[in-house]
Amino acid sequence: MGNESSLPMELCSNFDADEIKRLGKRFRKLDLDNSGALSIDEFMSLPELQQNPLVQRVIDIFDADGNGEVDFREFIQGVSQFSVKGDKLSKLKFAFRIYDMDNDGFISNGELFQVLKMMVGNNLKDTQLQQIVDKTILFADKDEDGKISFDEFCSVVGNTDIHKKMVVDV
Amino acid sequence: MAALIVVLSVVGSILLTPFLMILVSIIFLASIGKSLGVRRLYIKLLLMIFEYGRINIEVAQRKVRKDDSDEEDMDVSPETGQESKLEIKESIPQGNSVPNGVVTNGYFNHNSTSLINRQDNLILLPEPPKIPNPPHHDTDITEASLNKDDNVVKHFELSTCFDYIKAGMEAIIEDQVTSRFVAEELKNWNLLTRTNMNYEFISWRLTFIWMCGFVVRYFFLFPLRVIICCFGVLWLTICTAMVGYAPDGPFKAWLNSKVSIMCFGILSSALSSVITYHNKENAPKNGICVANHTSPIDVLMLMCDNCYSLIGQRHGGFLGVVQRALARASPHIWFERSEAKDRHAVAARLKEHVSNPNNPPILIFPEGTCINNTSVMQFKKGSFEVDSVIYPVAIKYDPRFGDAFWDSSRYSYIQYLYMMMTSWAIVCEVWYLPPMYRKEGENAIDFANRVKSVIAKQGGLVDLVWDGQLKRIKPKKEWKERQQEEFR
Repeated sequence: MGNESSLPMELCSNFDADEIKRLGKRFRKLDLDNSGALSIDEFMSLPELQQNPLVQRVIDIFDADGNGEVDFREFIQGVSQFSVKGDKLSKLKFAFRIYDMDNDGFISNGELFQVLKMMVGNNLKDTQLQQIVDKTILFADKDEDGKISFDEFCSVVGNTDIHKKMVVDV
Repeated sequence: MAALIVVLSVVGSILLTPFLMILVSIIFLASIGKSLGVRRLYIKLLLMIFEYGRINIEVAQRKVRKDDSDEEDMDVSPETGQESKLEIKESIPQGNSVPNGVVTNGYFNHNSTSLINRQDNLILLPEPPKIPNPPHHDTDITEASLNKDDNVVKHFELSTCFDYIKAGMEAIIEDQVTSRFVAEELKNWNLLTRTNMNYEFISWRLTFIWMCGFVVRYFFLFPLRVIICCFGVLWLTICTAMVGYAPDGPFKAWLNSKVSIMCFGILSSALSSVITYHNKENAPKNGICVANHTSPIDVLMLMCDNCYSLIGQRHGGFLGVVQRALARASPHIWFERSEAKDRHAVAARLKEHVSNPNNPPILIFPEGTCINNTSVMQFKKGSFEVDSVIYPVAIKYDPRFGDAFWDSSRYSYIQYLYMMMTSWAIVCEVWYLPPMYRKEGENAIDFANRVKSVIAKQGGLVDLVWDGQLKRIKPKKEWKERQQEEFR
């Protein structure tokens, strides 16, 4: 439990003590080798995640420092963006990061293609996929720089019920 | 020192007589199949004690919360305190039924079972990508194509990924599969230390009750149950050996059913089991009977009321003794581990057994592994191919009195029995469901799923499509492909 009590409180502003405790329990359960960090294999030990096409992206976003593993602080921070108390902006940011693979603040044509490829697998041909990508970018790209910025992203998805869709009970 | 020994021996000799009398009367009553209702009374008493414990814990928790809120933040605690009270109330009438009223503004009581949490998520869930139909092992083509049809090709939008993300996050926080392979979490403490994950020291009064319970369970119930169990096994061996000498025919079958019900009655009283059978008129006479599987004692629970043939792998040790004893009196199908792979041989023996109307019904657990009694997992199609009529049985244990789930990766069978015998009791409900017939043109997988959903519904269990074998093996790659979709 050591690593939970040592967490600065402001970090977990979206959770109360009970929720943190529960998440800590879950974290320890997922941490099969007790290394204090979750590796990709450990995430993949969950059959439901294994079959989720976007799981790699989600884990990458969790892994804020890019060391290939998710420690408890990163875990809490990641989950915290899905809290009911989390604000709309952080949820939108999370969704944006799914597409923005290199984290440069823009969704490029290539990035969108890669993410889409994950979602459709072999169901579509690459040429068909490229058409969808081009169409989507054309639709969202207001300043016509060939890529989607965060603001442009927000104006497209901002009106969807992101508050309801990106909420998970902890 | 000498005085102590004298005192002990005097106390011992005084207590021994009533102890033996209780023992003899329990065995006698069990063997004639009568009950004085003592066990039901005991269960009622336990419930009252748990209720008292719950109130105690609640008060203590509220106190802790109040202390916390004084120190840290003011606005959260009164609300949560109230909530936890509400939820615990909810939990009293058998937690499994419905997820109603459990969630308000996103809080969960930290004692709530995972089951309810997930149920709620499912309701919130937008259906598209998370096809609640994850893949089977032996998917045949018709099924795959069926799935495709449901999964209508849809238009891509940037927001399409939300559903995947949400599903992924839910799985990270709580997944449906792995949680089925560990003991179910209880909502309020049943005064057993092994379930005491969330509670530390609460109050002196509760600790005292727990200590009393400990003494009763380990120094009275446990020795009593061990003796009854040993006697039961011995008696079973003797009786079945004698039945084995009878000539084959209807008489032997009749004798066997009487003897086995008697012997299992004794064995079940070794666990202080309180079993309620519903709809006895549906109890199978012959054919194939399928049930959900929580632990090896499922067999015991069912055999107390009706005679079954069993099918399974040959075991060693304690289970082996029982298996050999059973095989003497009535036809059972025990196969070696090497044979188990040979599906056709097993199916052939199954068919042969079913074709003889003199044979008792054969009991099959099509999940193939023990699940923790919160859900029903994929039924293997094998047993549904043999015959076109299936007698489903749903078994639901009450986890408050002792967890019947056998976590076979953690405990050996003897350890498991020890835990059973030191629990409060085994309370279980058995529903005999009306026989189900395979429809014209229905394949074995669909039939299996139909039977499964009926069992899940009756037992108040979550109906999952996941394969129980995930306990041991890794999921397959192709499953992911089934989740990927097409866009236009």
